[in-house]
Amino acid sequence: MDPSFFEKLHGGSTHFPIALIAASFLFDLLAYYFKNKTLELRAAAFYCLLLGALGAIGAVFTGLIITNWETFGHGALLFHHYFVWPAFALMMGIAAWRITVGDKASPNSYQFYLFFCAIATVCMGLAGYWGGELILGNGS
Amino acid sequence: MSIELKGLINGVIAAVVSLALVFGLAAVLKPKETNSFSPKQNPAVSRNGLQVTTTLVLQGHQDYAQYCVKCHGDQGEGVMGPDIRNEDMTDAQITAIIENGQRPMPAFKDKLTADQIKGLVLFVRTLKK
Repeated sequence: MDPSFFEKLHGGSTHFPIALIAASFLFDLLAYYFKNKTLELRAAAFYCLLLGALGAIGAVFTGLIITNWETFGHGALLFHHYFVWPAFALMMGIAAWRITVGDKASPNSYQFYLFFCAIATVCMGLAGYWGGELILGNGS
Repeated sequence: MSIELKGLINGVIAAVVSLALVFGLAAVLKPKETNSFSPKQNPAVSRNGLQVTTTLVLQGHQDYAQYCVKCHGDQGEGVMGPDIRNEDMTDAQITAIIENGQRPMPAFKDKLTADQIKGLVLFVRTLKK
């Protein structure tokens, strides 16, 4: 096997959770404001979240393999991990909540869900930023 | 029990189990011996005259953790040694210091391969104030 296989896999898979959690949050926000399209928009948000969560599992495990199972580290890698772990845990948590609750969430609990989804989106974006800094940042 | 409460419990369990799985596996599988680097030819980006690869940067991180962090600190902020963030030096100058040392810092040219030193230079460049 090409020794850089997992690097390439991490580089590819890592973009799925970043993009899909943001898309899921956006669809949910739109569903909140456009009541006549709620069902369709929430369905889109749900599947984006599900695919993003699956992508996050792939990204996390390929990342752990290429860093020799380093969970924190130093420098930019440490900052990357500061955001990766909250984002990963939140994504798994809100995906499980969403699978369980389906369309039966009350408006109040749905607002709480949106709040946690927003935090996960921001954390995922910052994790992506520091991952990029580690490999592409000029450091000066 | 309402479905929302059930969802909340499932969500918390999923978050905790996923993190426990990650940290548990990392604790078991993280190698004790970190110096198992095998250089690869997979240049992705050229920066400051060096061929940058994910492998080189991550190897640089490992070597930094093993050889440099005690004196230069987690973020390069300096502990016993100087602050090395945003150093106004060329890659060649940093390479020369790593290779030959700069008292009291020891020389590393006999301990590290040329690729490992490249990786260290690339990693040091990622440290920011």
